[in-house]
Amino acid sequence: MILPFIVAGLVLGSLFALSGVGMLVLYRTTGVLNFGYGALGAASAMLAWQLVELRLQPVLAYAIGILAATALSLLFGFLAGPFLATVNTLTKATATLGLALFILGIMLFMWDDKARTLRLPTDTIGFSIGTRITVTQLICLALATAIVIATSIYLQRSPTGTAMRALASDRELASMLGIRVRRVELLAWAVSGALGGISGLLLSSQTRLEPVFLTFIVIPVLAAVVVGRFRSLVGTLVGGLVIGVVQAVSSAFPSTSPFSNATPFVVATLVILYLQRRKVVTIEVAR
Amino acid sequence: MSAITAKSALALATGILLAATLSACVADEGGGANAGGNTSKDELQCGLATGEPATGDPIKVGAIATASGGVDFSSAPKAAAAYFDCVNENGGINGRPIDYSYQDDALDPTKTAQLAAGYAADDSVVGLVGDATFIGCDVANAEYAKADLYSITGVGVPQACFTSSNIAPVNAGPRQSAIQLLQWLEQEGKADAVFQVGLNTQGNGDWVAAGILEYAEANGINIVGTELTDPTETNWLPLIQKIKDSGATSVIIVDPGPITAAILAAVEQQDARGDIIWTCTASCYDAQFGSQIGAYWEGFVANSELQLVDADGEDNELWKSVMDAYAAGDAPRDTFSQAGFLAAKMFTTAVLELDPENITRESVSQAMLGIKNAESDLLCRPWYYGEADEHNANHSTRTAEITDGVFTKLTDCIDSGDPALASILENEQSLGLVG
Amino acid sequence: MSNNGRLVIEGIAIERGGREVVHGVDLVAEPGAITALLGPNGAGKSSLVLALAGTIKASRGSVRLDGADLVGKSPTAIRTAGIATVPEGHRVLKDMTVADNLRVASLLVPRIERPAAVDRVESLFEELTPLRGRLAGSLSGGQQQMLAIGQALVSQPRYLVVDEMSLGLAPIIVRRLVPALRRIAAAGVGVILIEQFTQVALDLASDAYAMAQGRVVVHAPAAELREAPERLEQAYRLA
Repeated sequence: MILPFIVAGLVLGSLFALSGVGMLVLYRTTGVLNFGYGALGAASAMLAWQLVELRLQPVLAYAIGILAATALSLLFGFLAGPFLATVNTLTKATATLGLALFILGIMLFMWDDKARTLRLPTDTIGFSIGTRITVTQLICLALATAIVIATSIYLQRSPTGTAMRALASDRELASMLGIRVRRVELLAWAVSGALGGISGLLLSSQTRLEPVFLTFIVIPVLAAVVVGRFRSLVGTLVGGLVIGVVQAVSSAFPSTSPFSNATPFVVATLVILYLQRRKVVTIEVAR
Repeated sequence: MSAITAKSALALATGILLAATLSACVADEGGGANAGGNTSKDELQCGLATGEPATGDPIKVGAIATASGGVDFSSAPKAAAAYFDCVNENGGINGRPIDYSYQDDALDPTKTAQLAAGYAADDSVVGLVGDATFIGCDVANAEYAKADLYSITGVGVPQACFTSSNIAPVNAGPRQSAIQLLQWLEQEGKADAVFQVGLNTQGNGDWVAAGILEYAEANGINIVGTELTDPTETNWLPLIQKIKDSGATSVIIVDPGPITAAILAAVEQQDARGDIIWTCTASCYDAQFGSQIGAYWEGFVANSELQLVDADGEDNELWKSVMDAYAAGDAPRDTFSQAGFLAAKMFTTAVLELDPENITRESVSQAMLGIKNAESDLLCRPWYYGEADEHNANHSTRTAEITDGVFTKLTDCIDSGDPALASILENEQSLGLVG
Repeated sequence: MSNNGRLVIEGIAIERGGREVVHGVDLVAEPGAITALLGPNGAGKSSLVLALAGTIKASRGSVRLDGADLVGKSPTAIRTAGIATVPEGHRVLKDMTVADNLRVASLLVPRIERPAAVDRVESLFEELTPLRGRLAGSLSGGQQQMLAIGQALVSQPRYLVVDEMSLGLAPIIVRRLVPALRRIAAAGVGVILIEQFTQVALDLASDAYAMAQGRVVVHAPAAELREAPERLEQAYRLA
């Protein structure tokens, strides 16, 4: 009877991976590790919920939620970008904690702590293969995988994706080569904001629609990025899935279930130790 | 990187955010008043009901509420403030207005202790009314006891709020709420195999769970499972599996509303409702809850620690009308709000008995402690304060079920059979606090 | 005021870390010719290069090409105006492939011209063609320098500024690069060659400048300095 746990773990893990890819794109392009990423997703989900409550067409509400996350991310990148470009990685990351607290504060001000759920029509359609799987879960899994692949292809093939990789590789040289650094950075803020918005919506439907909870989901997401060694999209995807599945499966057994919530830390620590053993750990600072 | 420039990106981002903010603002106006009263502002019977504003020397009254940090209980002090405003417009305390304000402890016990010490040290604060703390009753009580300061608390949650000498909550608390669900199940003949779900928080979740077990043992009820989870839990599959495996006929959930909603969503996702009776304590008795959990949960049962918000009755009507006249449009009209209102009303009645020239902390404390037999249609039984080391006057509550997405009355009051209430019941009789 | 397509640098001063390190430098480069800029370590050559590239801003003076002043323009705008810089240390995008390195550089060119621009560079440095799929970080220093110059040429610049082309490279590699630079100049591109070691630069250049302590101390035809290299030593010592 472990199948339902594997399915739930895969779904949640794919959403960690989706968020992780968004964080990674931003980190690689701008050097900013965005701790406000969970808060962006939370804002997207809360706003979408509010609009659905106001009887807005759900699809439109989701789109506005995602757009709002994109806009918030872009705005932060626009306002803080010039400052962030001049400081070290740790200061950059710390600055994004400010973004997280700011968004969280606004959310707690606008919405009380009452029960909320983001209900999708696909929640009620499901089928059984030894366990019940809903269409929403399938969508989460498919969408997350598709977006990870699409982002890979985008970075590999498209001109702007190539420019993002160039910035990640050597910022000063890329600028000398004529890359419009600011523009590419803003694009990265926008793309990562949009990915954050999408994953926030899906995470809220699969976990809990609560600002604080969704804000702190950045922790397992960060663990997925660590598994990807801060550079690999595929590694991040695998990391997200592994964390999701291990967490879910370990919760199935009484002996391991008290520790299942520690999975992100355990997986991230094991990966770091393993890499250090081989002495290739370079959690390199993209300049 | 064709069309966007930094400036146009900024303009676009700002525009979207502005639009999003505006659309959310509209929501706030529509979200609030769901239980409008029928009494106009100048006909409200608050305090002396003179219709004349009080202009004398203000009487300072405070409160501590958890309003931020992920939990918002501020609807209790907000309702107390609305009632006091109404009293001040109607002669005040024999001519003296009440200067009421509350402070937020932000879900931080250290902050609660600081705020409590601040009130204790400020001699001009005569009493505390309508507090609503999720944490810190123990540390606050230590400060109050030293300073002879008393609180008619609106809402208390953890055990410490009910075992304090200087704190007396108006609400019944999660333990009574849960035990009374079990009693309801027993009455309905559905208590053959009961599964309980709650939080593993110390002094709260464990206290409630122990209450269920104690009642079940005393009454021969079979509790087939107890699952206490971490407040950050997201994976409900193990829980659902355990409930299925236990052969439970009914489930009692003692979690905050958002967590309960998440559990119910997971149950729906697995289509695991079955023939089980699913119930939840007063924490999910909320106007919005029914619509959030959706049509799948038609017939879901919750306990309510005070009168249902949409019921008739003198005090319930006054509460609604006071809220409409004196509170912000978006202040919630929920059980906590009723509790804060009732705390303020009972305080006002007690203090009106005092000589207006001699309203000090000492005289007010005596008046508060002297409250007994306070009847209200918001309660099931009379409320009292009384000198004691534990306070749980409200131990009789109602049950409601979701019909067409809203909670409707299912049963009238059920008196709690919690074995731990023995000493409280004995006090009630020996000190003549009720009846 | 077309200046016949010359690149005219007038009175450029540069501050770094709050201290002026270049104090009013004048320099003129001709299209189709190689101009050498010599000088010892710390003379301010590299600062001048970074200012030309737009990476740092000159505190006064002007850089004119076809009458337009490029001081204060972004690196992208300067590149678009036709000045491409190869920074010192054969810097390339190490964790990207050779092909991607050239693609990045081609982003300034209109989309349809990009493949042709890359092909042109590959025909100049044929050695790079079989290395297309290799990560640039795994190339030898000489190959990286070819790639770096190639990146600069992709955008079809009118002026190519190469900082310390031969530094750290084996003589055999340098001998390979010399004819390539000649071909580039012969095609009409003005080249400014910045070198600490004078030999290669003076062999290639028609006109030569020498800097010391933030100022131009010698300006003479390259041939004259080849005949009398001691003039440079004297000038450095005097400054």
